[in-house]
Amino acid sequence: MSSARDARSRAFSLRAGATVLLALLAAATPTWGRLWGPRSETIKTLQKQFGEGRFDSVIAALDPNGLLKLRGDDLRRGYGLLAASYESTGRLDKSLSNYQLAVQLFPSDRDFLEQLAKLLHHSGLDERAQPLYENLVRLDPKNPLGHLGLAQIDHALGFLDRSADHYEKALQGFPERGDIWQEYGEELAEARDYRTAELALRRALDLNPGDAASSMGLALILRALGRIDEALAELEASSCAGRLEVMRARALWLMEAGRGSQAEASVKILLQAAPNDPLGLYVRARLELKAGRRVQAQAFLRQAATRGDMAPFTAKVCAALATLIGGAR
Amino acid sequence: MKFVGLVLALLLAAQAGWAAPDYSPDALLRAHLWRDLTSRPRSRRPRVGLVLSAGSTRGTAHVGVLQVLDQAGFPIDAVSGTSMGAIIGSMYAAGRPVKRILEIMSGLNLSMGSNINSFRLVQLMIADKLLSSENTEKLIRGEIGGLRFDQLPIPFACVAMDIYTGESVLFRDGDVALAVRASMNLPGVFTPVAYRQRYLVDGGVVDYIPIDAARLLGAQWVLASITESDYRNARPKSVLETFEQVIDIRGAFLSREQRKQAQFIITPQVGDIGVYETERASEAMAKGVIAAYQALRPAMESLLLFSLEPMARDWGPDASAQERRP
Repeated sequence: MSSARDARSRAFSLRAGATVLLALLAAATPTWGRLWGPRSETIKTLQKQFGEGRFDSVIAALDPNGLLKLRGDDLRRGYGLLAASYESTGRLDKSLSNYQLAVQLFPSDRDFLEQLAKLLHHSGLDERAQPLYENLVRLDPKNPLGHLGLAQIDHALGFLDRSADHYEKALQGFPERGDIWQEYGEELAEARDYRTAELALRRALDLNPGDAASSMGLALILRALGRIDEALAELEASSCAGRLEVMRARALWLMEAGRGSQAEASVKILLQAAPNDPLGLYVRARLELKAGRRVQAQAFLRQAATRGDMAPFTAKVCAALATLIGGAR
Repeated sequence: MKFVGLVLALLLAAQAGWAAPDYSPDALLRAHLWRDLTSRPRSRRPRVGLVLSAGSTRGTAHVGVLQVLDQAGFPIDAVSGTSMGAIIGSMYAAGRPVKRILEIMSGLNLSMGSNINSFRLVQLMIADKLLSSENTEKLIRGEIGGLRFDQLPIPFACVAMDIYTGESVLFRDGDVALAVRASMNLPGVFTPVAYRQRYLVDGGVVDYIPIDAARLLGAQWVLASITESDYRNARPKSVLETFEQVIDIRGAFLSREQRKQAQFIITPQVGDIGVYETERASEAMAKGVIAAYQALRPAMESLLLFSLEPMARDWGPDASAQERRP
């Protein structure tokens, strides 16, 4: 039984991995198309080296003197290859400065704008990435990468309505990207639009079956909608079943739903796997409290209160509750 | 080995954008307790007060704060405000949707709250003839009609100052629109509002963050949105700006003590926005959203910790808190 589940899980992982790889390669296609068109012999050689993964050779050939020899479209391709080579070798600062220069030299080149914006965004420099994404969307109102970048930035800042609009436009360009449907679903759930969030996450799961993030997100939404059995079934069926996080959610949600005996069985399993888990101890304490066993409840709460390193809020709640119970006795 | 470097880089970049749902003990417990708290009747949880400070154009940041709290389903049982805080707070307390308040404030300009025009501005400067703030009253009346305080769905109070006695005047009854006008009646610019034998000007001079007003409305846990001026970096260039800066400095000194009375404070970074820079209202609102969104989880946690005692009363053997859930 377990090996069958493992095999299924491996198959999901392989399929998910292949999907991500294909999606990423597809996303990279426009850049490759721009870099690989009619070109001079110098550029042909550099493209060959880049394709073979000889990034240091590309970087060496495209030093300032090397770039000076290039003209027009070759110069554009040269900057693209240089920046991509730096990016591939992990020298993001160099990659960034070359993309910045390329954007100044070729301000309407969407590939450069996309690459620079993406690099800034993934480096956490959203304030600088945002105007570039806005520029991209100005140049091409349907540009899905521009809308995706703006959706993620707006989401991070708290502009949930605007973020949802951008996600919808990004999905028009990337309707088969399960990862974007998943992000969109998370965003909608945060805006408490649970019904639409459920649809988005189910679409994400259709595209990436077994995706842990989508399953866990969907379970949270189902629980928020009060569909506790469906929420638990979603977690159990997903590739994340058996994880500590799932055990915690199961115990807590069962207690929340008033199913004391089931919650007790679940929390015992959780505390066997992680005896000091602060949330497990909290659930245990609440069940003891409900049964009128204050002393036992207080002991569990005090134990949980020592786990401030792992869960500061849970520790504070448990400490405060332990004091309250003590005072009320 | 072909493309390996690029693919790895792309994979790393893709991972950076991946947003996993939060299943940490803190996130699960917060969501659980929040659900418990917000599904309770008011009588079985602490009363939450929202206090909106003075701040003229800077105060429009309160709309951004309201937007985030509203989206999160934050319970708000009482609202108090001074000056711009009174304008925004009154509309919210009257049940106007946050989107509508945002629309109004996006079009903020000086004539919205006054009868200012070129001729009257010259009159103000040469002949000391003060402007009228009647348009503020019209704006509020246009949005909420002739509602009285006791007719508001959410209890509301606002503050003005009697310029003859220096007293703080708290409005909790009567006509809302007139009270809000008095609260937003900048001294030195607008003619004092005559009301019940008093001559009223902007409440920001005496009660910049009206926390006491929220307490009088029964608030036990208070969240204050504060939009002070960063006067240390401001260099006033006119008589009017100098005058407003003095009010801001006075407000800042007052608010030092008042801040301590709030359970939670949100401070949008709008200190560099001047009183009359109405063209920056959208920027102020955006900064309100950003500040409130960053503060949202800590604010929820603060309220939950404060609410534990009444909630725990329902967790014992005699109560059936869990069974109350759907």
